[in-house]
Amino acid sequence: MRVDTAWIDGQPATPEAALRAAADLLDSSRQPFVGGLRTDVIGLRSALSLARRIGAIVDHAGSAAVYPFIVPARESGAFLAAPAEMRRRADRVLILGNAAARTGADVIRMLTDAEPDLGAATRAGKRRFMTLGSKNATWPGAQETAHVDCASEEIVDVLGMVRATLAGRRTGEGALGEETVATIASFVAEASFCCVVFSPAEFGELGTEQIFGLVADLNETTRASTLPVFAEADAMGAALQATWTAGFPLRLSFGRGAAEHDAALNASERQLSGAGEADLAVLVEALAGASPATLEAAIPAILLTADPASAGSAKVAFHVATAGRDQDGVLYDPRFGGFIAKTAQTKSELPSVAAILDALAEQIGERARDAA
Amino acid sequence: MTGLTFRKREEPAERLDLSPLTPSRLAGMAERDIAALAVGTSRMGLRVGDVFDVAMGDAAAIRFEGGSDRFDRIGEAMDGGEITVAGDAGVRLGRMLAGGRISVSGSVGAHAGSAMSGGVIAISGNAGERLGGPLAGEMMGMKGGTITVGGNAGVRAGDRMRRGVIFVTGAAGEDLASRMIAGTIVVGGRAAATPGRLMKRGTLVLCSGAERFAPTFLDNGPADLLILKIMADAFAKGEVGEVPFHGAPMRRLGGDTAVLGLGEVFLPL
Repeated sequence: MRVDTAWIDGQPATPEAALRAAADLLDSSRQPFVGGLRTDVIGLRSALSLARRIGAIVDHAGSAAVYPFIVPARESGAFLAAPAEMRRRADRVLILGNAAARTGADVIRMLTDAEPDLGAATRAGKRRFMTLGSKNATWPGAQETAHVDCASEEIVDVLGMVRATLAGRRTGEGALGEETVATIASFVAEASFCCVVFSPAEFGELGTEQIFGLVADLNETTRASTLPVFAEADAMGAALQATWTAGFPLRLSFGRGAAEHDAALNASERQLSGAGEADLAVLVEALAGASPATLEAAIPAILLTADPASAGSAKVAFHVATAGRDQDGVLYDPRFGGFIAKTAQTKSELPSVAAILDALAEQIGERARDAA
Repeated sequence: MTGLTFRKREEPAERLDLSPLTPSRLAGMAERDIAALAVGTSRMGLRVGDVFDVAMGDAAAIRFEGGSDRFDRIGEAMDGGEITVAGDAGVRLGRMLAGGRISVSGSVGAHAGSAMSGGVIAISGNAGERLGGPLAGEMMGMKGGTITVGGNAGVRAGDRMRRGVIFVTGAAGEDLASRMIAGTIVVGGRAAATPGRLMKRGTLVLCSGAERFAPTFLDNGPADLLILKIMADAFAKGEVGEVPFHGAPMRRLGGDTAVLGLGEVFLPL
């Protein structure tokens, strides 16, 4: 039985014909966009290489989840820790907001399942937790958990009050009373090594800057750091790879050859909505659990997808392997704050993202050489 | 002698980088050379002559007839002369402006007056987000000069502002004067929440009040300050013109105490 792996306008096609059709589309595009980018390191490398060749705008489908971290980190600096380091050193953990318990469950579990065993002031002590949000989050293994009830949208203001209190400056009336604010201030200031866990997307750029500012203030007198957690962890990996490859954390354009960065103009949402300059998208959706962004794209798309059910929405589509499931892959893992190799769980004959994108780039290159 | 005029032929299909079209860079250039300047931002390689009809004139006074929200970087790093835009302009209008004057009859995109250090930007319509604010990786926003906006300003106007004056006739978007370091911002309309977040110093005059402030702003009560009258008089005689406060007592707030807390906000009593 023949298994379809490529489609043109929703109809099955040979991979060769689909590659030619995709190259035709790219040839006639004024401004292509390369997005989705849900793939592993090798797939991303090929996507960025193709983007450079065709003068594309580039962004990841999940950049909106990581930009509230990237912007304040590069503009104001940030104390950032590796989860494994916090697992061994942090004697107090402050968990902010409602999203971290869900998006950072693995990271938080690393902290609840162990006690600090490094640091003269922290080893052999008990780790204490405080949550500030509207959910009373507790975890098995946590020795001591205090919860301070606070609406998510008030937390940034409350942290401002904590900063003012720690610095001996006055505050006005906020969502929490003076005594509660003082309790939070004591919890973080009396830590030997405080760890703040939060999801930047919940607090936005300025809110995240407030959190980084609090931790910077704490480091005047003690030790403290942060563990930001993300709903779209692979977007963080893509941002890192784009930075080491092209100098910017995504949202960049190769329109004039060298990469140019604009976090607003080159955002995936803007380009795929049709409000931007892109007239054709190359979308990669090839990670387990990836949601096909092409369904929401208002511009024609060439789709590389692990889910053949979504192929009908694209002008040209390829069924590709999922890195780390169908084939070995190197993927970003937030528990390590870095990239790890992941062995395939199944054996698949499907082509990799890199194989399709490299073949497409080769075809475009051949046409350029023929035209010359 | 009339000014050098760029007449838009049709709406561009891509964003244009018009930063090469400043008085000092065009002075003495022949029409053919001007028409050959690259302004496209895609692989199509658009040049001035592909987009505009050029009418030669004094390069010290440049005019764009027919604007577009894709006309980016107009007047970037200009140090003298005048640019007039009859229509809208895109992002980064007058970025790094050091001297001269830029006037826009329509609205402009994000980062107008970004990190400018001198000169005047007069926008008749609305301004996009981060008016005067820095780009990624820059420590300071507006460092001098004057920006006036006839309509409304987008979110985070005056971000990391260090010096100079911004006057917005209409309303201001969220987080006006975020991370402000110094300088003066006057808003005629209402400011959305939360003006002045993380401001260290600087002066905001919010003539129609604000949606709300962070609790790290403290009400200092009514302030009958001579400086308010001196400021209003000085604005009236300068580029800003008449402002909607005239030295009458105003309520003063101090903040943001989450950081240094030396900023001040004046509100109607």
